[in-house]
Amino acid sequence: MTRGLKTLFRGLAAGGAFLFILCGTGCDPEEPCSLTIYPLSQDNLSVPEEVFFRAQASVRLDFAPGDCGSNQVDWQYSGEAVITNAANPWTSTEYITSGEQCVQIVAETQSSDWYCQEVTVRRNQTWGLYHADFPEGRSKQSVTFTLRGDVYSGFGNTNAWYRFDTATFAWEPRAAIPNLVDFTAYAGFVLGDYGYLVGNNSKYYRYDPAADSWTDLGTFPENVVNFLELGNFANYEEYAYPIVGLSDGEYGYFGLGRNQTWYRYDASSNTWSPMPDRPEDARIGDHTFAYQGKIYQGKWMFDTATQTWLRSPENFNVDQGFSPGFVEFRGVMYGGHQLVTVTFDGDNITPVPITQPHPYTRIVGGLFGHGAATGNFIIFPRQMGGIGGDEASVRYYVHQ
Amino acid sequence: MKKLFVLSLATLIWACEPAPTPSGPCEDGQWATALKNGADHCLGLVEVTYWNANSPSAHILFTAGEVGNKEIQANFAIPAEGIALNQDYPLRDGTLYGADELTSGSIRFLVFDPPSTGEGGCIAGTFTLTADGPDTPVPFRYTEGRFLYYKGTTAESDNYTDFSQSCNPFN
Repeated sequence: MTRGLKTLFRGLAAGGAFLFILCGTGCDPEEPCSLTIYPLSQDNLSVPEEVFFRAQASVRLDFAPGDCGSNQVDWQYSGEAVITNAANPWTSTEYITSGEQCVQIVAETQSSDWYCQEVTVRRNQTWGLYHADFPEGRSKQSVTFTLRGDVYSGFGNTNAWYRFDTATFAWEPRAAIPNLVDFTAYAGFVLGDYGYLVGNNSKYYRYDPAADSWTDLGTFPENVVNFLELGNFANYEEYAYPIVGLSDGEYGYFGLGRNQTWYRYDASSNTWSPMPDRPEDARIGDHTFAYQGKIYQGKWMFDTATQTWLRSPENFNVDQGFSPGFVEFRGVMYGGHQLVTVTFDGDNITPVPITQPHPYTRIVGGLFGHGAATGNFIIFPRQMGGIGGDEASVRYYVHQ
Repeated sequence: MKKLFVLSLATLIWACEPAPTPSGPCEDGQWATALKNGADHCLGLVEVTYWNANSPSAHILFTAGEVGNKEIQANFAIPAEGIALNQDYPLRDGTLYGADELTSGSIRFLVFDPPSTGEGGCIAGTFTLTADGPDTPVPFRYTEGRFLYYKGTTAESDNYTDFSQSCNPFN
């Protein structure tokens, strides 16, 4: 690929020289114009040498225009990249594969040399913050899960639902739940080929990804506003206590948050059963996830086989350095601890060995919320801060 | 599959003069450290940018953390008269990891020699920050914060360390 670029580079440069020789009108061939006031050099080009996968990096070419007429800048990248704002590629190039970034100034009668710099795109064991926020803006709580191999996310404070496209990093709108007003849903889970969520209207719904449709399955056993203590907040958007929404085996689970009660859902009978109370309230910053028959939340874990709460081997809270969450990825529970990617085997936290060190193996700290995995990616849309602040960012881990 | 693209851009004037222009450079960050809830904590790269200097909206944007993963983004209010050394300037607003709101804090400059075009510079000082709230289980408190931000006029391979040492008031 580099060879191909250099071939193009010579061709374009020769073209510039050709134009200069032909210059007969609008300039004096005896006194060639100056393309720039000061001589250009490689130092005028500022290109990031190393970026994380899908990073939107900034390119700069500093120069003072000369007297050769109107100028334009030609721009080449030999790798794969996406320009998200054609009006300003300098700051809107999203790098996907490594390559050589080249820039050339072209005036009416002259062109400069091409100035080039290699850009290395890191995509192994890499954490990134995507430049585009989640479409629905900020939300402390939302529904995120993997369903039939795809990552879905949405709801929270809005009745909006999306599927993540790993090829484009775009959130594709999917069907909202029809005929709802002031609807919020803060947790959901997956059983088989369907997704489920419980709304503040105390109704629960099933999502069929094949039909892209929602089905009203009935009424949750409790008034959800009271059950989650949503009513204690002036507006629900301030609710930052971690709500359980997950599945383990053939059952789904929903509840807790700022409460000690929760329910198990059996899809085969479409029934809810109360679970043993959590020994104490969950805390803001508690991570919640299920793994190998256990449901973890903060410093507690629930054994689904014995139906008992036990002390977790770790206190999975942000203030203990756990961030941004735990997600099963390629059969292993992945998460972050003290800014390092770790795995959790049910007993121990183990740092993931870094096969090729680079700056973007460092994990994000200070966040918690739901995440989901698909293919080579773990996606964390809209996390909460360790004290419950909200955000709209999409963070991701890629290993390919 | 790789793609090769060529773009022809309109006249280049804007390429030389991006707007708005901060009072100092926003690159070549150096380091910041603090006690975070009492424990030593390295904040990684720091950037200090003086915006709208000598105006009623003057402020310092202080960021610390990795690229794409800024732990601290804090704005400190600066009076229109400018910056004086060894004086605390209060937090205006800011976030931790873009989510938790910073609720109080201040910054103090021990050295304030911002880089300008073609010239190096050095900004160094101390800071405290707190993120707290009514339901906060454990507030995040950054105490005894120190930072050093400098930019040399030579390549990093040339006397890089020497420059930082001469700029560092904590030595």
